[in-house]
Amino acid sequence: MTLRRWLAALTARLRRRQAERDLDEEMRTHFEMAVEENLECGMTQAEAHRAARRSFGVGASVREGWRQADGLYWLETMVQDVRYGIRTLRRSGRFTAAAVLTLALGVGMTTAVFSVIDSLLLNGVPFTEPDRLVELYQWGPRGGRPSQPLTMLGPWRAQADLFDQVEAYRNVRWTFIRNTEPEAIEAPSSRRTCCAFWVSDPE
Amino acid sequence: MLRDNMTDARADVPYGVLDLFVLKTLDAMGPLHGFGIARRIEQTSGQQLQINQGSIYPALLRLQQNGWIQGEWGASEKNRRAKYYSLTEVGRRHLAGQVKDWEQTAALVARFLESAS
Repeated sequence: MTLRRWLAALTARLRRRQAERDLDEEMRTHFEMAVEENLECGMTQAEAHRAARRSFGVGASVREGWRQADGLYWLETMVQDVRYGIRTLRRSGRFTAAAVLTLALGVGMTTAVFSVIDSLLLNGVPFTEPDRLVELYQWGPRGGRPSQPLTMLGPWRAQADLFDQVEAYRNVRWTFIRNTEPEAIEAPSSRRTCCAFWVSDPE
Repeated sequence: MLRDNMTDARADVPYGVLDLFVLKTLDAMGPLHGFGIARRIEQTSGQQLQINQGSIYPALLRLQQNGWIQGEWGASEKNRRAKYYSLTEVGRRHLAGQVKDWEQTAALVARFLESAS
């Protein structure tokens, strides 16, 4: 549909009442002219009316056809459908609640599963050569620490002649739901780190 | 659409041709109301076609929305309020293109039917 047609259809919609009154009047005029023509052919008043009405078809269907010719007819039917839907939902509260709950659960679960798959499989490690990655630990007299304080990142970066780049990650707990059994898994996340130390895109 | 087949065996206008007929009629006759357009097309067809209200008014609306014709209320010969349609400049150009297309198509079909028989 061209822009011109769109605009015309839109303005027509805004002036719908007027347009329909116009159509009604056009129909009336058309009918009267048909009757007149029949009278001129020598029909009686009653015959003329009957013949005109017959050639006229059904008034309502003229209007329907006219509406369908309107470029935005689909919008009108869509609005009607939506209204009908809302009315139906309102009438049956329990059904609506069940439907909304099902939708919410479905969407929520799918999103959760996808975010796990996204970080584990799709976006694995955000480095071009993952086989060259190493993990840094500190060891002291009392053993090692499972994680390092974030304040170490600065010094390590400053002294990193061995490494191209030093970054940090944090393990995040996810709840993975397969079938009905929820499972807690832990996965490294670099995007969800608490502070803005993920300074540069490694690529 | 209800149709009285006993009294009226005339054909409806083939789809897609009605727009062309309406435009050409307005081009030839000047401003005309819906009834006049329908009658004029029927006359020009030698009464072979029947134009009913269910198709002419939707066509007029469509043509208006395309900007090819415009409608204006005026008084008819018998002093009746009627909506008069007339070609716009865009409509005139569109008609010229359509006429050329149809002439080519018609000539092609005619030539094909002749040579293929």
